Amino acid sequence: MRRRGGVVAALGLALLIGGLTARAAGASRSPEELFARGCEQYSRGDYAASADSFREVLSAGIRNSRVYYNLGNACFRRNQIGQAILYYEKALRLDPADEDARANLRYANLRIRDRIPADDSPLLLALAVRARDLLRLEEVTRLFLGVYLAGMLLGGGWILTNGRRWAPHLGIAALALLVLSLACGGWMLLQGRARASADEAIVLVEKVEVLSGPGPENTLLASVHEGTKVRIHNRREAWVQVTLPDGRAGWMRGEALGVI
Amino acid sequence: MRPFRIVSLLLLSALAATPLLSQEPQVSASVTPERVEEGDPVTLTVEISGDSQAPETPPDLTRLPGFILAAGPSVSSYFRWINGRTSASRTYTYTLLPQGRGTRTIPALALKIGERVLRTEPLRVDVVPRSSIGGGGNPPPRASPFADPGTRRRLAPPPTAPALLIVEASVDKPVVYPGEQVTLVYRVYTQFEIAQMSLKDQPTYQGFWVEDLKTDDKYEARPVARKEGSFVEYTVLKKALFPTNPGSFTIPPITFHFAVRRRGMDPFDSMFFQPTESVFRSSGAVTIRVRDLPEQGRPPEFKGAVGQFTLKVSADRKQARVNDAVALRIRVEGQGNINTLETPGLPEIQDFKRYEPKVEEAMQAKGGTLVGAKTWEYVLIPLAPGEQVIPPVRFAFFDPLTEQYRLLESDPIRLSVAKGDLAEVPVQAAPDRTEIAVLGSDIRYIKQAAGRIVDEGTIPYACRGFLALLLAPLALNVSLLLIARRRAALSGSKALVRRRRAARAARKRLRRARTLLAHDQSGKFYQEMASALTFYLADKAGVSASGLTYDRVEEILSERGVEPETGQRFRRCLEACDFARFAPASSGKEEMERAFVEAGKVIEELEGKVKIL
Repeated sequence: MRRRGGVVAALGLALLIGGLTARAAGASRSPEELFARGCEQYSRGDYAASADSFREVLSAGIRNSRVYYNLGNACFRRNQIGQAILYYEKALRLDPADEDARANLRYANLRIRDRIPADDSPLLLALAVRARDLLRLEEVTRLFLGVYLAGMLLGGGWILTNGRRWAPHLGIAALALLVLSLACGGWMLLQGRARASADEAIVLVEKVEVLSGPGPENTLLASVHEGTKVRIHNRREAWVQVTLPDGRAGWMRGEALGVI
Repeated sequence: MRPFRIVSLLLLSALAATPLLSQEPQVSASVTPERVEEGDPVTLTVEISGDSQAPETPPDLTRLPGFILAAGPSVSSYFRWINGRTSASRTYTYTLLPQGRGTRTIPALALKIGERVLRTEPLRVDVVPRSSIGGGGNPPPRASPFADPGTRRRLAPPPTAPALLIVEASVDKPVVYPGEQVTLVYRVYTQFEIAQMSLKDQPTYQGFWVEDLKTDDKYEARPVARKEGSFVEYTVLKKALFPTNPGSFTIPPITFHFAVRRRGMDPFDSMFFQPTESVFRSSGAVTIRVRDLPEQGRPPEFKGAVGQFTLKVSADRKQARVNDAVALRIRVEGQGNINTLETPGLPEIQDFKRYEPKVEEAMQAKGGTLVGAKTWEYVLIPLAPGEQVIPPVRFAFFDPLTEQYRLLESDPIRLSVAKGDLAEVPVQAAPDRTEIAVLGSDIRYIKQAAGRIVDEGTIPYACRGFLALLLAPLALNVSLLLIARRRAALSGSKALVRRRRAARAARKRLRRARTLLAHDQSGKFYQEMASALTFYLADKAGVSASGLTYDRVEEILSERGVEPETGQRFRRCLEACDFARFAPASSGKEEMERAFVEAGKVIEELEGKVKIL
């Protein structure tokens, strides 16, 4: 799946680079300069130019939550709700603890045509998902490493001081830290899996038809509108098998979708 | 009493039997006269005979084609009962005004009586051009509003031509916007002298808001020349209409009844007899087209006001205290339909409590157009002290003259609010606390914080460095553990042997000491005893026996968690042995025995209790 995602990302990158060659050919600016320029253009109200600047940062292969967030805002201001939702989702993928991106995503979702069914997952699962998103992956990784290394250090001390009176205390502390590091490791893996997954996408065109199979001759099942989030299962040439928010499955044209 | 009761019963039974004996109902209609001059009324009589049962509804003639219902129906009924037979009749009388000339037909009228539907015969009425006015016997009129001393003279028609009376309805503009005033005028052109005028039906103006413009009873006479001849013109009705919706609307004709006075040639006649007669005239229908208000340039504040207005906003004071009442007056004044003006939006004012406004309006006709003013008076209660600003009030209207929207905006009103006197404010009058009002919603702003833009898309743990960081301490600890095990195995084997054999060796030495005790060899005995104690401790602790001082002995024991008392007993034993070795003269057999027992006890105690040794 990751490999396929990589291919899609590379294709997208190539397209972006192609579209921006004229701009990029002029002067190669640093991502920080481009970011500052995009912010300045946004605050001036020049949302189109601002979006171009942020896209230029991304075209250098940099995936950054702040850039995604700002690009989402620029798209929202240009009334490209589908694009805005896609970039907010991307920002949240990288930084699930970003309250701003979450709020804007909620706001943008109010503007889309299709009704999003309320989240009816069990309370414990919802709490677990919220807990998972409390810290970003980098922070969880640092936490895991810290706890693990401390546990290992105490374990070493316990080995070295074997036979001494306080050696057993060292051993218990080391064991506790190592168990804690196991939990942190699980958390880290969960977050890493969420970040690496490429099985969700946003509809970017105004309306797209969902058919019962990969081909225009199949039965029309539904039509979904810009901004709706679907889950990708399978691909066949230009067709993608998706699950709609209401749980129904079908096939749609892949170019109508932006993979998160 | 009895005969009367019998008679009553007979009478009642006879009455109950009447429906069986009654005749079949019959319906007939007649019209008089059948030949009528243009503008004259005819009388239609519909008679139902033979049944006492009345029809459910009288025939409806309001929509009779070619006729206008001027009056009626008036109802008269007749009922007779003789010897069990009833005869009854019911008559409806209508006054109809034929429209136009030629033959007019009153179609068959249907009457529903009980379960049956009966029909009349169709009737014909010939309407001929007016030749001359015949006399009438109408009652003398009240003082005529058409009284004009000059009229009579002017009204004298040419002796050859018939006199004319025309009613016309007209509007000042046929195409208007919704809410724009259109003036509807009914004018009477007459060559007669009019004694009295009344409306035969109440006009309806569907799709319009109507205000009367003409209120005085006196009609001004104005001589005019038309193509039919000279007339006197009276404006009898004037109304301001305000269309409510776009579309095409027709104002139906309304019928006037005139009592006109003929002026005969005979001066005597005209002096003493002033006969009046009824003349009915209808105005024509008027069609007004109402255009849609333009979409372009329509401000969001527009609520349908059309005309020319001014806006004035004032507060009754500039300074107030918390919980004082401040009156805010919004006054819209100008030309247009004041009645339907909606409140100019008073924006949400924070820190003020507001009450529903008191609305006053006044309208008057001025030169044919309605002008007026509408005032909304709000009572505002300041809830917090400080410089408060009542934001501008906006009022938008459409000006039909320039065909453009206009937006009026008042100046903001500054109000200096002082703290209320706490002593005066009762506890419950504390300012109302409200939720922070939601005045709008939007996305959150972009993130502008400077800082490095790094690629965050990577998975931090999916690299070799991370794996190395995980494995390095693990490997280190594992190797440490192995080393420690190996060293323990190496050094521990000797120490372990010594430790295990310590008690046995000590007992062996003690047994040897016992033999020495039996042979009364005190020097050797004490040496053996000291060796037993010292080697026991050295073996147990894994140290060398050669350098063991008393202090070191005590230290080792306390390090291994032996109780201080036992440690001291061990030391005392050892000290006693050493002392006796070097001063043999002072030790007797008993003392040796006691030292032997004590040493055995101490060793047993250490061996049994303190496993750590």
